Amino acid sequence: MGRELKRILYVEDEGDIRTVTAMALEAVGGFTVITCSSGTEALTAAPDANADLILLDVMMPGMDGLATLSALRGLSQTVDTPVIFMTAKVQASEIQHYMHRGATGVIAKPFDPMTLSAQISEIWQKVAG
Amino acid sequence: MRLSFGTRVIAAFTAGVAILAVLGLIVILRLTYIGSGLAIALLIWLIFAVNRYETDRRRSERTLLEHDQRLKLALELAGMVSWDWEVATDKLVWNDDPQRLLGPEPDGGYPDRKTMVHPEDLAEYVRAGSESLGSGEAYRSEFRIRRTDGKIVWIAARGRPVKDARGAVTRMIGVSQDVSEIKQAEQALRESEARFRSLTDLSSDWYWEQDRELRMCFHSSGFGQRSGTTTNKLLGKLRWEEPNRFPLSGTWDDHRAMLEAHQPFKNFEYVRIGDNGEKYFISLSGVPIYDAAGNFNGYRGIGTNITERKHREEDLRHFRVAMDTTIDSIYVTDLATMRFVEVNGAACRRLGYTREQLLKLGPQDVLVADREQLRRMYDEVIAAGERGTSAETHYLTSDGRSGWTELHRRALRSESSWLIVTLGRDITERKKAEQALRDSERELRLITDAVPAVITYTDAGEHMRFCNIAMARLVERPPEKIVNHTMREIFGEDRYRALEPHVRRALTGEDVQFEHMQVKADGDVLDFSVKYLPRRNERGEAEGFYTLATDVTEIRRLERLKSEFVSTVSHELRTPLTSIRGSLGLLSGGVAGALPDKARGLIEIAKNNCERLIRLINDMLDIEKIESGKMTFNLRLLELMELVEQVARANDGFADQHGVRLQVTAAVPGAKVQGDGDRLVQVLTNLISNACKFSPAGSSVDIAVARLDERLRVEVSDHGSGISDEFRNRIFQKFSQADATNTRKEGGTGLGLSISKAIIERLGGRIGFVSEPGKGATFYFELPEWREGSLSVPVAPDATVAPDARTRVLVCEDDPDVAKLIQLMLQNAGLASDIAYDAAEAKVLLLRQHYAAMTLDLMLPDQDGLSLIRELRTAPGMAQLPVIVVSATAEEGKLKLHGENMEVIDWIGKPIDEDRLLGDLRRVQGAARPRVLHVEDDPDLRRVVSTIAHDIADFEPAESVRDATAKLAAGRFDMVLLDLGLPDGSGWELLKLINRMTPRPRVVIFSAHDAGADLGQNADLYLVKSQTSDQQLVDIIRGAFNAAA
Repeated sequence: MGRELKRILYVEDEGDIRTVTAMALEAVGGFTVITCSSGTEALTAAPDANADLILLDVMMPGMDGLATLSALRGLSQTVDTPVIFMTAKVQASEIQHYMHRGATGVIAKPFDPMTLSAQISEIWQKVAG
Repeated sequence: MRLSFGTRVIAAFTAGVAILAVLGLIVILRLTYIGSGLAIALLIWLIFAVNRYETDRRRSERTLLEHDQRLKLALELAGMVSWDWEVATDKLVWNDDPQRLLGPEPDGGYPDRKTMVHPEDLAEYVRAGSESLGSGEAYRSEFRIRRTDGKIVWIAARGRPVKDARGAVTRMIGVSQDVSEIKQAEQALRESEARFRSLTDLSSDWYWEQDRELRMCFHSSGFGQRSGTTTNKLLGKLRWEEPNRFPLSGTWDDHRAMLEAHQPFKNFEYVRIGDNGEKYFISLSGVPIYDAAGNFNGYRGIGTNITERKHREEDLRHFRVAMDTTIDSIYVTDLATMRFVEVNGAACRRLGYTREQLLKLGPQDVLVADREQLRRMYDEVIAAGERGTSAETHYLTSDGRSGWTELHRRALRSESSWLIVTLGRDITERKKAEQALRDSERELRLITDAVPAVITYTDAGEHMRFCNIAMARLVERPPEKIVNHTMREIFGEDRYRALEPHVRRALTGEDVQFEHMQVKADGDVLDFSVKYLPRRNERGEAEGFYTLATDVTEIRRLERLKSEFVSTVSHELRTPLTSIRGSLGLLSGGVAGALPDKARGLIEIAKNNCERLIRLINDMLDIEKIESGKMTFNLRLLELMELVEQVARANDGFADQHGVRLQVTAAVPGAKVQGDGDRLVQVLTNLISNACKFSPAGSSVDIAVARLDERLRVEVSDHGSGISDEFRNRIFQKFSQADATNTRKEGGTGLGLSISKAIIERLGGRIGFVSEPGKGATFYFELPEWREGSLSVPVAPDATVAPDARTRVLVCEDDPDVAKLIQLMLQNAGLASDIAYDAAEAKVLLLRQHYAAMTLDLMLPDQDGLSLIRELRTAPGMAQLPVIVVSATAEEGKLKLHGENMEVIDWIGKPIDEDRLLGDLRRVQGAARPRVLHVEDDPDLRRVVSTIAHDIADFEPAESVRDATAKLAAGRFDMVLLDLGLPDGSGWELLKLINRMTPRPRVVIFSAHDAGADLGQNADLYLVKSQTSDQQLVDIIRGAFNAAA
């Protein structure tokens, strides 16, 4: 497709991580980051976010990452938007599980903020390139 | 001589007649004078003659009378009666009164004599008479007559026939005599002799006589056979003249002197070598005999063969010597008298009596038992016969001390009573030792009972010889029902089967350690860590084993808690660490603007330590997963060299930091292993980073790959200081580092090698190292090389796969777009699916997850689809997997099979006919029935159950614990129908495994053992075979699935 990654919808319940991650993506990657603190908020924000990619935390109170993914797939605007999970649970089987459930990629927490943008771009290249 | 008046009258009358006759003649003849003178002279002569005659006659008459009188007197005195028998008239004239012989004469005179003769003797009587008459010889006969008074008497008759002038026998004169008394005496004598003879015949003795010269003159019958020689050889000989005879005491001269002194003697014993060469022991007793005049007339006496007695005496002597030389006490007790009749020296010494004293006592005097108790005991001895009895009892010595003796008794029948032969062995010392042992055992018991672990000792025959109280509590049996019982009896068949393999190993001398689950009667499940430590004899063979079993139920529970805790904490730690690391990273990356150098240094320190903390958490999580058995593997077919190169490149930077060169020095192109790539990267990275850390700057770290038989070896060598000896043994242990200060310097966690070891072993390989201190170290790992046909890899079931097996389809398709398309079609039909992009992935997924069906592209990058089907059909748990071929080359593939039946549901070409695919799947799904693993070693029962319940579920047979374990690992089951007694172990072990599975299949125990329904608490249902009908079983299985649905 060759489309450029610009806008990222980022869902994370932990405020500090949200701040650091958003900063890393914005400052290092130069992306536009729309942050949400829960799955519900993401569903509200998603239609207007016009995101190229969605970054989802897995472990969240209420709707978790997987449930949020299913819900987002129900929205026309996000039906095929690539989704990357961010999680501390990064057992090989867990990663495979997320991939089976439609994830485009998985990024392990804790991550290196200086390389995070590059990691995401790499995944983006696979689906968009 | 006086004549009777009659005689004188006759004589006078005769003389007168003579005178008258002379005178008459003179007258008649007118004799002349001369004549007259002659006549007168004649008359005178005649008178004289008559006178003289008269005188002579009178004299002879007188003489005759005297004779006659004398004879009569003699006859009368002799009891004889004379008779005169006139043959011609057969008239018998008794000259004397026959009443003496015949009894009083009846009125009509005596009857005919032949009627008086005893009928038995008549013939003899007649014969003797006629013989004498015929021959003229003297007549002698003896016969019985019945007297007129009824008495029967013996008559002896003697007679002589008298002949007339012509020589004919006309009469017989004789005498008869009553000889009854003589006859009786003779009879008495004969009887007496017969008695004597029988006596000597019957007795072992004989009678002998010696004449006055001391020569043997008589032996009674029986002498020969009893004395070993014959009478003939000895008659006329002196006793000492016989060769081969020796007096047992003294000399023949002594004996001879005694005989010549006419002394009586008694029990003179000598031995004779008999004619048959055997020894005869003889005892003689004799008395001198004298005639009426008091002259010595010889000896008479009796002889006895005492050989047997002598032998017995000899035996007895031997016996006594033997008795006296044994250290065991021997007592022979006569039950009739309750006295000892024989005791040996040891008995005397033991009890402190002399033999004479002891023989006056009985067992009741020396044992702590009264007569009654003893009698009862002796009854038992008699009843025991040849086996005898044994007992341990107290004895009392003469001075009142007591001791312990072990008695072996046997009863012997004597002539009049029972003899009890008792062999006593002093066991006082042993008893003391036993007591000491008991004391020490009691102490041991107190100590072992105080230990909270199960402690037992089991011998080679699997009899438990010792157990502490913890064991008794565990098996809920009193110790006396454990000790000396077999393990099979104590634990029951099922549990014993689970233990048996370990017992076998222990009894071959191996130290054994294992975990064992014990289900108590109340349903509590206890986990035990069990150690079997063999006890070896001096030859090194195991003669039993000690068991030390620790209840680790609580430990295991704590481990689970710890595991959960570690997992939670690790995750919870990561969340703040994510922020910290992110912030530090952004700061050090200059995102927040340039920092002063001092601040930058500090931020770097914080960042590095944050990294280290993250590694530590990751490693701890790995260790926890390994230890709790939760580490999962994403198995793939891997190009080993690709992986090695990749890791080498990834670590170049790290090597650079240490000034080390990283190089691959040997390769095996094309080598494949089946494994989890990430995990292998983790292992290799760990080995490489260790090597880099411990290499001197400027040196190289060499990575070499080699093929060893069916394995591939990857080596990482450094040129550092090597592994010190004291570190070798614990190098793979957790948190083990050669030098604790190193940890901080190098930033390691001390967990890397421990994790690597666990990973490699779980992948069926092994890890190790070779090192020479000072010359570096080479760490290596080996994995089985993957080849065509390799399928199964030992992996634990993956707990993270969703349990919707009945509606899940595996899509095996290399084209992602087609795969997505199929997945979408399935999704629309409400079916979940997983995608395998190649055959290897498909196999891995199939191993982990049960699928209702699989769609298969025939053109896969790594394997031909048809060969994959063939492979699946022979793999456990996958033979029945419904396969729908979805391929552009479906028709060609179908043709390639040449009618080979691979039970492919359908062959669908491309573009895909969605309706056809979903139709196939609906049919399959309808048939996607519950799968039951039927663990049962009886093939008939398995067949019966699968037949009666075939419309409910598919039954997969497993006939052993091992079989079942493999099948549970290989495929998903909805239910396990479990028999407890299996050939290689117990169903309980399986249940333990099943209980750890997620999702856990339902478990129905279906066992012959009515171990108590409580035991089934860990199972969903507990059925006893004999108490469950077929219909009940079907209903229960159906019910179980309906409940689950």
